Amino acid sequence: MFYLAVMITSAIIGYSASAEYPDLVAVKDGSPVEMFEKGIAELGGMGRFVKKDQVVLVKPNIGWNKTPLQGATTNPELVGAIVKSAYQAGAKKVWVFDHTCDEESASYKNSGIKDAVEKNKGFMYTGDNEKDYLEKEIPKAKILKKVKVHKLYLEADVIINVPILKSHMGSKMTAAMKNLMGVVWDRRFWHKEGLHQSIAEFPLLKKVDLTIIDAYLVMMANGPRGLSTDDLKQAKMQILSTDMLLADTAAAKILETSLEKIPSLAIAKELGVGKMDLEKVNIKRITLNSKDSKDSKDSKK
Amino acid sequence: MKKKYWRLIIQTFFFFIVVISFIGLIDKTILNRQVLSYIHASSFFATISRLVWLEIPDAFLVTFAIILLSFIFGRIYCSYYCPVGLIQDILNSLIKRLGLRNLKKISYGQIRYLRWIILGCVVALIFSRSSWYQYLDHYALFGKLLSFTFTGISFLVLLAISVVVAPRWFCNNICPSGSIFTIIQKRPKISFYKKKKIKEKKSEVIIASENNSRRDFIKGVGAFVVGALCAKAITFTSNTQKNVQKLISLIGSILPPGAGSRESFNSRCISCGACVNKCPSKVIVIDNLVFHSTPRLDFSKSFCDYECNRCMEVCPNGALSYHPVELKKSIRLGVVNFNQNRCVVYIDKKDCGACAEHCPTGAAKTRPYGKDNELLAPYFTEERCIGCGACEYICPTRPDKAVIVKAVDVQTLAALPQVQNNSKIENIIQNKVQKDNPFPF
Repeated sequence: MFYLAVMITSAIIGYSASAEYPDLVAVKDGSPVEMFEKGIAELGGMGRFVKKDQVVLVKPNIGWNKTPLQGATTNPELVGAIVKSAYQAGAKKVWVFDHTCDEESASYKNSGIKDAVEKNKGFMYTGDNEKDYLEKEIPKAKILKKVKVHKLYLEADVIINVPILKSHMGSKMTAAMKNLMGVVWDRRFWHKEGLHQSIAEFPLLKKVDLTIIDAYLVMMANGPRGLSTDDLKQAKMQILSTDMLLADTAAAKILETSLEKIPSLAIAKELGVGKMDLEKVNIKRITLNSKDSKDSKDSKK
Repeated sequence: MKKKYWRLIIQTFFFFIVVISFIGLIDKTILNRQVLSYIHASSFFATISRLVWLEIPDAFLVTFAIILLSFIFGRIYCSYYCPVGLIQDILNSLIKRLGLRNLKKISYGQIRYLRWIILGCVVALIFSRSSWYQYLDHYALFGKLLSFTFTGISFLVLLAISVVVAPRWFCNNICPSGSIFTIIQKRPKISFYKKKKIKEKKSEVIIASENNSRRDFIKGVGAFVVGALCAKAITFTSNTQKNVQKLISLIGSILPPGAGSRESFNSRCISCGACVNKCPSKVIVIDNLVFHSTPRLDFSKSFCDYECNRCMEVCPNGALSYHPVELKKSIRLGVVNFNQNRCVVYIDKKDCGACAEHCPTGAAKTRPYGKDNELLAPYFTEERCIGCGACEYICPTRPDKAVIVKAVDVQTLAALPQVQNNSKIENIIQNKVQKDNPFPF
């Protein structure tokens, strides 16, 4: 019912004035799923992005063989909720995959994402087969002139990028743009030829329709793998935006890193990936005052 | 009749012990892996191959006992112990029921000398230490069968075909262990029993014609020499310059977790390939050229998963001693060797951090570097390194990697990951947040 209401209202608003959607929605103090439901409603509902019979790719971060509590991979309930809502908006098929760093089947399983996706009738796909990657050219790029990209990323009608926010010992931060490194085959090339430049150039290949940054558990240090739960902070936030760079800029603030320290952001802005000036855009800030948030505040003390 | 059933019961008992050891069930039961590996005495051929090189394998007393018993009772190993024997017996009874045996009997007297060629070949391979014999040794093949590899499955198919020709055809024509037992039991003088009784004992095992004339003997020796020369030719051609170089580079090869040391690993590993086939990361490989073809880790292909101890679970012989995952996480297989002069950050002044990104223990980290501290350069803490190879695997520099893991002589435990207290970071964030806007932007 909730979704139906969201869809109807979004349809009405969508026809009347699409410009009224906020550029970025930031939600705080709810469970990842609650924050998603609230946030996507503010953005006009999933129906704004997914039309009937479209093929959707949801790209979470499943890079490591870690459990959800270790904060290295995207929250599985959130991924499940996105898959579900994409189907409710009329998607024909929802794919989920990542080119994992650790062994794939263990990472898919232990992250809880495989279960969550399949429970919601989504489909997991392997990112571990070089044959699935097709060579593409990015004419505007300096380094990534040629890049082997996964066919699901190229073929999908709608791409929903669902990274988890973490600090990173190479790229300084991993969020939306860095998460797309999981749809390419040869990541060593990026590391060798210029990591920041490559991260900023890759979004030029294809537009990502929606970015949802999971900042519920944020890895503040020793990322992207993390050494222990001491590296984590329970920020209980989520950022939703159609502008990947804008979402990343806001995420950097949560990570408490100055923007100059993350070179890929400035490069991406120059390349026209998106906006960076948070003051000038329309941000919708929502704090969910659920029971859940009060409990955690008490327990912190 | 009763004797037949007894044999079946004993065979099944040993068969299940081997299977339990192989599929990683031991550690979920109260059974002891070390004790079991003595009971199932699987390492007959591996033991002999080690003794030739004056290495003392763990189970050599068991092997001696089997040989001694064979002097007295004949081929009891084949009829009571061998798991491959049981498979053949089962296939045999199946084929009997199906009536396939009524096909024209092929006289296998014609290939009576095949076994001696094979034995010669295998012995030559043992002496050259290049252990291609894992494809002829029945136990190594059984291990591959339990791992459902291509070699294992084709072995089963060939076994089924051979049983149609004659029961236990493999034992009497191919199996090098079987050939050794044949030699042993053809000395009836040592036997306490008369020849006829021996024949009864090994009722199911039909042994090639007993006409042990001098001519046959010479032919057998001739076949043995031919086989040995063939093997010698194979190893000679495979010892190309490339292979020799590879050989040298493999001397310090990295052993799978739980191996302990090269000596202890060699004394128990039987090259069955269980760890190679069950490794989810596909990092364990077998080289046929060296070390009795014991496995090693190849970090150019993959790296050892931090959260995984599958190889220890499936090792049937305790060559990889079992450790729970939590303990395995700190087993040091090697130590990182960092060459700054090849590193992207230090040479090209570009951020990379691939090694630090992959390091599960925090042995590889990055710190500010460069004129304005604008870069993050890797640095390594050796005490924390477990030699899992993640950093070496992902390092992007070519042709030589900046990070290389070198093996340790004895596997030890590395220091546990250092735990930091990040409460400071949290405080900063709390302070910066304004009252009317709970977001930091």
